[in-house]
Amino acid sequence: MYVVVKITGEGKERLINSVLSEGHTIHSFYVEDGEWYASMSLKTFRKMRSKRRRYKCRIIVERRIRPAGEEVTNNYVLLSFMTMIAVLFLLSNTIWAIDIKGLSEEGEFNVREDLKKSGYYVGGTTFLDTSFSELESRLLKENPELIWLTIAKKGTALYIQASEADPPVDTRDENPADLVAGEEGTVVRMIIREGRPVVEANQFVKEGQVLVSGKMNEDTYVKASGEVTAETWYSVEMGERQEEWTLAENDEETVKHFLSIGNWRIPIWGFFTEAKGEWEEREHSFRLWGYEFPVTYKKRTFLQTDDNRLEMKDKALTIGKNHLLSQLEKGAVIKDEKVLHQYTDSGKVKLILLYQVHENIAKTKYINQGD
Amino acid sequence: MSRFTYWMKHTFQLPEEVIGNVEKVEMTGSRSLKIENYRSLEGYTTDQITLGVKNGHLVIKGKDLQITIMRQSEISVSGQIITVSYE
Repeated sequence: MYVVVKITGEGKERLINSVLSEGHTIHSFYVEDGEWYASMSLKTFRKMRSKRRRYKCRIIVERRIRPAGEEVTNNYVLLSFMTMIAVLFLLSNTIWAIDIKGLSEEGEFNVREDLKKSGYYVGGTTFLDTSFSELESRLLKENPELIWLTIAKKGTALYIQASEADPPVDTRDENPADLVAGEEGTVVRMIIREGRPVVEANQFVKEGQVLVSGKMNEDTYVKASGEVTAETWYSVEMGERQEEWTLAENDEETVKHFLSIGNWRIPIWGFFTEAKGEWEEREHSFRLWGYEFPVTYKKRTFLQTDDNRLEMKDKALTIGKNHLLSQLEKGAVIKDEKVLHQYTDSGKVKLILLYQVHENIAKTKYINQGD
Repeated sequence: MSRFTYWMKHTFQLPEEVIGNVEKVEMTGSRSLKIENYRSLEGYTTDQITLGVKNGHLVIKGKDLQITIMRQSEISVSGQIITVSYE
């Protein structure tokens, strides 16, 4: 802030000299109609005002002006430089485009909506995400029609390639077909709409065995249809996914945050929380113009181990169950579950879980009539 | 100039305005004038600026004279300068 003042009085030359001798500066000093006008900083103005009586002068403020040109101080330069860096950093971490390839209009819309929920949209910022494997698996889970999906970040754009399952085949086709077993198991019940049953309830069937035949007699073939519910067994090994299921609903996990430069690690959060046992570390790097910052952010999560192993077993069963159900066809029911085997391998608990499932095992297999 | 400063100047080849504290007048064309090591401002109108220097007064005569910047030891004048003289 600068002020322009009018200086009048008999000692105005001496007033100016006195102020200058204390190291102050006067800018654009001019005479108009015999009067002196000078512009100066507020600090100089205050000094001049405090001396005006001694030199019998009057000082009248004409106007206030903003600094321009050479009056810009180092502070402004530094501030604007830092602002520029901050803006650049922000802009280069903003998503400017999301390019989705390989999907139908509807599928693309769904993926876009899910991405938005996860905070990825045009104009949004990403600071910490360099790997998208978590997001990929989440998108695949939320959109069952997707077969595969990959996400890559190039510069400020997200490139997504995905593929959808083909639309279900026309079920009205009348080509003759058998129903065969898709899984090994014991038949529980059969609901047959068309075709001739070959197996009975409580019969053990192997994978690929014909359950309902489409051949009614020598010349008549139909498309067999129906449901064959069988009791099947699945074993699920939990171990690799231990972190997932120990952390899933564990509120007592301890997290520490660090900034790391080279081999130095500077704690920035969680100084006083007591943490012991095994930990898992995630590292995020900051990027600008495709270069990595030498500073990285590390999040260290301490896993709880010994205290609640029993609880863990229950949790493992639940998680294994959900995991299995997500892979089975609709209508599958888990009848029984148990821990078949439990052992410790290099500090990690591993469980083999066994599930008894009732599910439809019938699969359509077309009959090659060989005409 | 005292004998000591004279000796200093010749021995170390120092510029006179540094050693003798005398004014240095630098003129760029007829519209810009810079004076270092002046002592005081003694008068200022659009036609004439009078400065106190070590051995008297320096008088700048001209038209539409303006002081663009003024510090303790440095003053820059712009405008149409006609004469610079000692009085």
